[in-house]
Formats: sequence, structure tokens, C-alpha cells
Amino acid sequence: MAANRGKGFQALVICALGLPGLATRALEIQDAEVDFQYSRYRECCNRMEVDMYTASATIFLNDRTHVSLDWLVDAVSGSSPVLSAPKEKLEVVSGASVGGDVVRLRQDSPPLSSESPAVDVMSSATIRDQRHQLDLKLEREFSNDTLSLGGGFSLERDHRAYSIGVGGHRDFFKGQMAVAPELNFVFNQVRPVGRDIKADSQVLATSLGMTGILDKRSLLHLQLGYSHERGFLSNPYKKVFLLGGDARLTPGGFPDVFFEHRPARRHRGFVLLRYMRHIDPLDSALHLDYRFYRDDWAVRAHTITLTWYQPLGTGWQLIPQVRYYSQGRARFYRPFFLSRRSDGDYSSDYRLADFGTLSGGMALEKTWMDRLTLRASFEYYDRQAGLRLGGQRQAGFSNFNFLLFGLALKLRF
Amino acid sequence: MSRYANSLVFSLAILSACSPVQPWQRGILAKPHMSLDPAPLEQHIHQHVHESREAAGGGLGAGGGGCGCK
Repeated sequence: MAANRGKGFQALVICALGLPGLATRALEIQDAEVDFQYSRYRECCNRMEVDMYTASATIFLNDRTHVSLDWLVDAVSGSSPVLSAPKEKLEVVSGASVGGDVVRLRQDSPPLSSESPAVDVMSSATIRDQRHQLDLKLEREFSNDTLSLGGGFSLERDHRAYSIGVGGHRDFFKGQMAVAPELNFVFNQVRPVGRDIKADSQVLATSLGMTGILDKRSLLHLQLGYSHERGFLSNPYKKVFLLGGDARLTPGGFPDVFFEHRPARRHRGFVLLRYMRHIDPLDSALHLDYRFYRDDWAVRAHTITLTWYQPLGTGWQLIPQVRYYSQGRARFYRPFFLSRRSDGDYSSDYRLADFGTLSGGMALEKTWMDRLTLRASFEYYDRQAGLRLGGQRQAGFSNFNFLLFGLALKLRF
Repeated sequence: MSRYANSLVFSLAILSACSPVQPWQRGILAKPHMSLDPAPLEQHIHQHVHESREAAGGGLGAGGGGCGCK
């Protein structure tokens, strides 16, 4: 009963506050909030595995100011594709198939064509790495505005990133609409293991979010984002097969194999539209998100996510989700290259290919006394070249799937 | 650039379709599962994983470091 009175009071206060800072403001009527999460990422086919440990704390210095601290540790192990090559060029040295552990490139092979099937070549040694990330954010509320300042770093053996950012939030028309601009700068240092290079890159990212009340039961959010990246944007471990070679590329240790090379600049933009609708008879909420992304590497991508929040009573909530993603390849991506490119850019990184993904998952959470929440979740993700909008170019190539499990605990004081 | 300008105009047109709802009528909208990110920490992790396996990014709560090189 006391808990119900608390909820009612909180809802009244939120209503009085007005809009779209919305329910997040509901959580601010307290002194502190602490979150812990453990997640396990596991790819199929003996590929990557990642254990992720996350802790997050929000401390309210007064009724208008709070500080948030996020700490994340990733432990990565497994193997990853380093190269893709025409199947005719690969010879099995040991193992049962081309997908086995050890292959080598043939000196002689039948004539190759761009229609030759491509095969992934995985890293021979197991990758082991650990990443630590720490982010700090200070947020101050004013009568109609919120201002936030943040910064952080991410450290791993071969990569360091430092970021700073500023954001704001302003309510308009008595809270009927809210606007949230954001500006972030990231400085990256890359020191790849086994290569004698030291390279840097910078990212300047900005976005503008707008949230409006459509009616008593629905909200619309629109976000426009743009970022500019420059510097070393290649993946230092990925290689390409290029028949005949190119003097502008760094040799990759085998005939016709070179380290990839990407443009030194990238302009990226996205439009994100989110619709949230409350379904009264079930007290549930439907979240429908659509994002269109494009960049000047010629990548175009569509993402659709559908999430259903279903309270089950006595603090339980079930949250199923489905997501579809489709992407067109970068202009300098090919599974392998049979001739030189005039711009000198080459990549066979599977992340720049044509493909589509379909993923689905579920979360189940239980909240006690509005103070303690436990949450368990999973996501199954399937990547297939054939799932891309408009068909496929390389069937059965670079396809994989992964499972992501999560266990979370949230405490509010 | 004009495409982004068009997107902005289109968005403002959509948002202008919003109907006035008084503060005391916003009880439903204030429910936790009607917020933009009811579970921000988990959303952040999922988004980080997606962005390390895809070329697109932005908007859905990601950010932070990690080059996703492997």
C-alpha cells in the first residue's frame, strides 16, 4: 500500500514536471541509483567470446544536480576472420575442410573470376584482450533546461580512446515538446600488436533529438545525427587478397595478400524515428524504432526494432524484442580483388559487406518495493548475406550468428 | 546536405502534428515503460555489440570506446 502511494505521488510529480524528460525524471526523486550487469557474448563456429562486466552509479548531489559514473570491463577471446580469398586459392594443410584450422594459399590455381566463391580465413592464434572503459557525466537541471558535461576513456592493449561531450535538453510549449542537442569529440590511438605503426584518428559527432507528445498515450521521438571521422580509419588486423598487388599497400606476409586500406575521412549521418504507444487494456507499451543510416563510403543501412513491454503484475515485466538490419556494402569492399583500384582503398572486412541480420530476444525483470530490480535477458542474432534488402551477392559467405545473455541488478536508494 | 534539410523539415512537420496534452493528463506517458530507454545500461551494451558487427551506428544509446578491431 505504501509502495502504491509512493508510485502515485511520483506520477503526480512527473505530471507536474511536464514532458519528455519524462519517466527518466521519475527516477531522479531519490539519492542514488546503482546498476550492475554481466553479459556474455558468444559467436558460433568457434569465433569470438566476450565477457562484459558493467557497473553504473548515479549520485544525486541535490534535487537538481547529479553525477553518473559508468565502468565497463570486456574480456575478449577467440578468433576472427582476417582475410577472405577465392576458394580456388586455398589449400588445406590440416583439418577436415577449408573451414578447418590451417590453410595456405596455393601458388598455382585455376583462373580466377569475380564470381569465384569466397572463403573466410580465420586468425590462427587465439585472440585474448581486455578492455576497460570509464565514463563520467555531470548533469544539472534548470527550470526548463538540462545541461550535461561528460568525459571518459577506453583502454585496451592496442587501442585507446578519450572522449568529451556536452549535451542539453530544453522543454518547449509547457513540456509538450523537448529538444536535446549533443556534441561529442573522441580521440583514438591505435597501436596494433605485431605491426610497427602508431596511428591516430578523431571523431566529431553531433546529434539533435526532438520528442513530442502525440496524444495522451503516444510519443514520437526524432533524432538527426552527423559525425565526421578522420585519421587512421582502417582495421589494422584485416587483410585483403589482391591479385597482382598494389605498391601503395603494406604486404601482408603472403603473395597477393596485403593489409587493408580505407579512406582517411568518413562523413556519417542518420535519421532515427521512434514511436511509443501505450496499450491501455494490457497496460503494455509498444516501441517501434526505425533508423536510416548513410555515409560517404557508400554504406546505406536500415534498422527496424520492435519492442513490447508487458507488465505481468506484482513487479514482473516481460520484454520481447525483434530487430531487422540491412546494409549495402562500402564502395571499396570486395571479398577479394582481382585488379587494382584507382583510389587505393581496399577492404574485405565482413562488416563493410552486403548483408542483413535478424535478431530476437526477451528480457524478464522483477522489481521489489520500487527499489530493487533483477533482470535476465538474451538475444539471438543471425547474419546472412541473403537477408539483405533486395537479395544477395555472395550466398553463404561470412554468415554467422551469436547469442548474448545478460543478468542485471538495479538498486535505488 | 539538402537531404538532411528535408529530413529536418519533415521531422518538424511530424512533431507539429502533436496535440496539446495538459500536464495533469500525462500520467500514462510518465510510466517507466513509456520512457525512451527503460533499461539504458542494457541498451548501451546491445548497441555496442551491434555496432561492432555492423557498419552503421548512432542514435540508439551507444557510444563509448573500443575499436571493435577483432
